Amino acid sequence: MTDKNNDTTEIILDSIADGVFTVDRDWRITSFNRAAEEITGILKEEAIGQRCCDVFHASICETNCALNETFETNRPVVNRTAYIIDADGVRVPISISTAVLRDKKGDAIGGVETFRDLSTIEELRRELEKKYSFHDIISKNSEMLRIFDILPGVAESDSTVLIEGETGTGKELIARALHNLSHRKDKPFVAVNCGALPDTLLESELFGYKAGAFTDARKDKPGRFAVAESGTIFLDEIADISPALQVRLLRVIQERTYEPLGATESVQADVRIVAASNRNLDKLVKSGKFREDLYYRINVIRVKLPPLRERKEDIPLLVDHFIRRFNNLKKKLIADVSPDVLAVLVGYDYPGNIRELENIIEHAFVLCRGTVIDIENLPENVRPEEGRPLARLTSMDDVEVAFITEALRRNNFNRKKTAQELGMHKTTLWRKMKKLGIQSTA
Amino acid sequence: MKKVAIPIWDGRISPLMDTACYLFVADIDEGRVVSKETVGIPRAGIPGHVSFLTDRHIDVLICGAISHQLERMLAASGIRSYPWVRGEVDEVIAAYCNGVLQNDNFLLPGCGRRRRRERGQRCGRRMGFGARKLFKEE
Repeated sequence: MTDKNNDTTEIILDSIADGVFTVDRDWRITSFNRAAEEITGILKEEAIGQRCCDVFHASICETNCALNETFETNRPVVNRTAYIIDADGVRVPISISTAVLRDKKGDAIGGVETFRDLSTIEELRRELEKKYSFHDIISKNSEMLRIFDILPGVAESDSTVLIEGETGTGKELIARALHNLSHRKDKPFVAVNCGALPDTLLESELFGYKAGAFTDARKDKPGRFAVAESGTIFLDEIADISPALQVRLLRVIQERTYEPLGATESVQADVRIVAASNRNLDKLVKSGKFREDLYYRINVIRVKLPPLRERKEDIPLLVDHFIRRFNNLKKKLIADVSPDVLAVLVGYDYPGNIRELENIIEHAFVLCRGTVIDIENLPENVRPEEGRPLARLTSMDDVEVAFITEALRRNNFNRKKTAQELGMHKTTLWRKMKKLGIQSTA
Repeated sequence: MKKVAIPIWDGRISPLMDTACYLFVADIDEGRVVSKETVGIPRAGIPGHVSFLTDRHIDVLICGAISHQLERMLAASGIRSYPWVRGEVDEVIAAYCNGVLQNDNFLLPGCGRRRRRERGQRCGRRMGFGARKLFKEE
């Protein structure tokens, strides 16, 4: 009877698509199903009786073993991401879950580990990322997708472009994309932050100087316009330049010539100008703080970047992106943020926009000891107050938005599946999404 | 004299070279261990691992599982690797000095399958099984 039971268990285990193996308290493998053979490339007869780390050789064996954690805490581990190196030396991304095995008396006799091959999911994720990314800019916001659409045409045109957007919205990334898509892509891209230098320094920085132009000017120094010759110059924070420099800049744009400090002859400039401002230039012109003629010269094509608080549907995508980036940079294996953290991140206003979100994730990376970022890993200013896990969700609508967004994310923005999970009809879900302003990719 | 390195974890060869934290390094002269030390490996990814080994002038690496990518980079850096090996580090070093590292008890599960499938092109041939040649300390 026991043999029959064992046979049945084996048949069941072999019929499932996830890899499953069990170990005794000495970490020796006691069973190994067919999917485990396929994923690891190691036959059952070779695996049985061996130490699990000698068969599995996963990235977490040495430092963050899921089974060890389960034995120590008596709690299962669910969906911990890692990778294994299979018998052919190929890296296979997997998701691991573990539990304690007990005998009839309830004593622990070993552990069970199930693991899923994430290679296909990883490929799909890359495809999805390709769909929503454009030259290092990630978004599925309709306004951003419209910008992605027009950028190739704008890049080809060689016209002066004005990029407007709050600080941290990715103005320089757009400028770089414009450069990389243009015929000037093999020439230099030079970025100058006009707000970072005092006016006199900025002038010599932009246009350069000749030897003897002033004390200490012992030899010629080429300016940024000369360095960017045949390429693109990106003038960030253009609203911060003085009226005198505005006049000089106007001349460069109008006549494509400039004089380095102390020079007697003009220099030709074949440079594409992309300017950016985090302030509304239109208003500055009206208040007389920015020259109207310069404004119209640089405002040939205007790209306005929405702040992150107006494209919150991008937060899960950006969080995933930054987690992958910091995993690579900091050699960590963080898999995700907890649902609570995502709710907090979606509810936050981001005065510093995407740069602030990036900093929040970097901060959490430093503090996170496990594989999932928790509330306590967030910076204090973002973290909800004690006793209020979702403090920023101040109304029922806010709670619904966070709840539905998280459910949509879990189901890869499939509305039908999300509606099923939430126990409502898909039309009801659609109506709620419309009412609450939740965007869907579908 | 040769500098032989082994990623070490709990006295045994680390299951995976790519994520190993400590490296056992032994100077071996005429089949004898002259000196030995254990050093921490910085978590610096595959290129970092390779430069860590080359900076220490490692000649031979004996390790457990290893990704193709890291294996190729080690080969390109002139480090001879003997992957898919397991066991207590002291025993592995002794086996290396005596030229018996190819014994089945030092091979990770799946190594035989790899050997058969690839007709000695991978771990089998590298470890000298094809020619029945032992990689004894020269």
